[in-house]
Amino acid sequence: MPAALTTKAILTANDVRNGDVVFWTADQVWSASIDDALIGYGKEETNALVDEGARAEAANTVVGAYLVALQPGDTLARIPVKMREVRRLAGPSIDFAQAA
Amino acid sequence: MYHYDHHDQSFVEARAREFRNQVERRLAGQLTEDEFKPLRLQNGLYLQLHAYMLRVAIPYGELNSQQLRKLGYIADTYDKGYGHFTTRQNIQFNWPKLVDTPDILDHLADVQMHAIQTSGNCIRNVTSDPFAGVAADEFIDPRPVSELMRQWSMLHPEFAFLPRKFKFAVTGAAEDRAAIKFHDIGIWAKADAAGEPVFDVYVGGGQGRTPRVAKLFESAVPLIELMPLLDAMLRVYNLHGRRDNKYKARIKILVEELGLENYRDEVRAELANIDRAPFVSVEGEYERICNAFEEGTPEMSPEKAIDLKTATPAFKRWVESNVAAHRVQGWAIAQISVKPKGGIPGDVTGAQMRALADLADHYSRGELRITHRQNVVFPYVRATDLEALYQGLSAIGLGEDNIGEASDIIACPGLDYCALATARSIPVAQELSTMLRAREAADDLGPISLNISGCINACGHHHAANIGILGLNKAEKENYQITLGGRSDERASVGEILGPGFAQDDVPGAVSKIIDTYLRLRTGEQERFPDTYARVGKEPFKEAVYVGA
Repeated sequence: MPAALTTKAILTANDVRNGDVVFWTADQVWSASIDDALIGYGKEETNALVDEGARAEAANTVVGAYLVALQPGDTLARIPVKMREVRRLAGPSIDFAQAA
Repeated sequence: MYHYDHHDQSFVEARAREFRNQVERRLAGQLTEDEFKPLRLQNGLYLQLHAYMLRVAIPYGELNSQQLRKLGYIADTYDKGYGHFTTRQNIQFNWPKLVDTPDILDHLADVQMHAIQTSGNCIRNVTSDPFAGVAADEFIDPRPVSELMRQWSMLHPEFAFLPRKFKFAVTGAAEDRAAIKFHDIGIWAKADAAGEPVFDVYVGGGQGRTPRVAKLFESAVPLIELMPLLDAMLRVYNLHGRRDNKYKARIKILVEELGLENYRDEVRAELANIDRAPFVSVEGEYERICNAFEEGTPEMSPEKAIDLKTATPAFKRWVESNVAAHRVQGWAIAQISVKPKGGIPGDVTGAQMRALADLADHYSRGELRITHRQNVVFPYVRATDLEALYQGLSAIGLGEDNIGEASDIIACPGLDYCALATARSIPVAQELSTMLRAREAADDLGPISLNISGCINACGHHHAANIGILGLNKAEKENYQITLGGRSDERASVGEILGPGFAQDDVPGAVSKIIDTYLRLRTGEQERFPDTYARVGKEPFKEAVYVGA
């Protein structure tokens, strides 16, 4: 798992059983909604998220846990810095398959 | 078509059982992800951007209706109701759950299918001409040697951990419809003076960040020599291919660094010492496979040719665009476009798969092919059945008459699905498709290939397209680079970068200007896009796109 980020980040992964994108929450559970994601500010909090991800991977709850860096600021907005993460959080930007 | 023997069937069933056990151990915490990852990848199960993805092998693109029905069932039962035909003639499911994959593999094994070697640094699914066995311009049916190679490469103990993935393509016709020169090894089957198969072997082709057209390694290799030669070529690659840098690990880099002559010398030295014992049965096995294909191919006596004089304009257009010459008079090869206007290239719903299977039973003797251009082919259609087939296809949204036209776009899944992608491909393809269908209705643009990749790995084959589009991440914004002049046929060439890239919204306008320039400069409707480009060069296109933009 990548090293902690020192600014503002959330912890994400995929559910082991079904592959769904999930986020670590303040309730100490994984949620499918980014709105529930616990935001870590600064090195100490994001390090704690990294540790949480490692624990969840070891417990076989999730796979591929990593931190997503968010746009800085004190707001609760969860807007990733990287385009890849924006796309991942939003899901496919297209309707599935062809309309028959 | 070829059917598994007892050995093959037992093997895929055993492999499915083995994977079930591995998944159970993973879910029980007995295997870590690091331990499990190589096992799932060996069974075609990736973890992509949003979910797991299962890639199912379709050897040389050939399917029967029962298999397609099963794929439709899997799409509806275990995925979100659709599948995606890939540029290796395979199918991908984008949303399977890990817990369901053992059941999916069991279902696949029931119809002689699997997902083995659709991932990892091994020999991948052998691809071939989608018109194999029925093409009017065919020298030799490429399927028997493709099947021979499938058997040879399946779990080959020496080639399970190559420096990088390895891709073969085989054709046996005058026109290369399998893009063999963009493969690690491409094989062109021909007939010698006695009518026996001989094989021209090309090496070192590929796309990705270092696109190369394969070089001729050896001509007219007899069948008895082909398999030992391929073994020796792979052994030299396995020994000397780079493992320190994945971007320099493909055989094209080895051939370039050694030089073709030195690589050839190494292979010949290996060949001189190779144990021939495993290959003594090759000719007999080839004959057995040929017979198996022939037994599965009903006799096709010449029949009445189609008369388009009274045909509706829509059907006539479809025939002109989508129907190819068959080797038997009165029969036709029907190409089914999976590129509806504004649609997603290569995506088919479970319902469409079942309907296609029914149509294949009615009109194509239960057999169909998947093409590397992400379309479907019915190889055995009576010319007199074409209109009924067209009506049936139109009823399920697959009656588009654009095969080989610019709107027949290849597109990889891109950043909508792929963990490696740097930009989206599908929305760009959809916008271009909408624009191009309108233009194709108004003008005769002629055949143009337009391919889109969402990253430099080039799964969308952009290097090999007349008009190629590569999606990149430029300062966290999607940016699309255009290449021109590529082609994947027997005159294969790599496209040249036109100039600075474009924002997504500007891509259709740039492509439209490129097409305007082609129409203005071509000597006539017979001069195809890459020929015009080769004659006039990049500058007129560059000027049209960038000057005054």
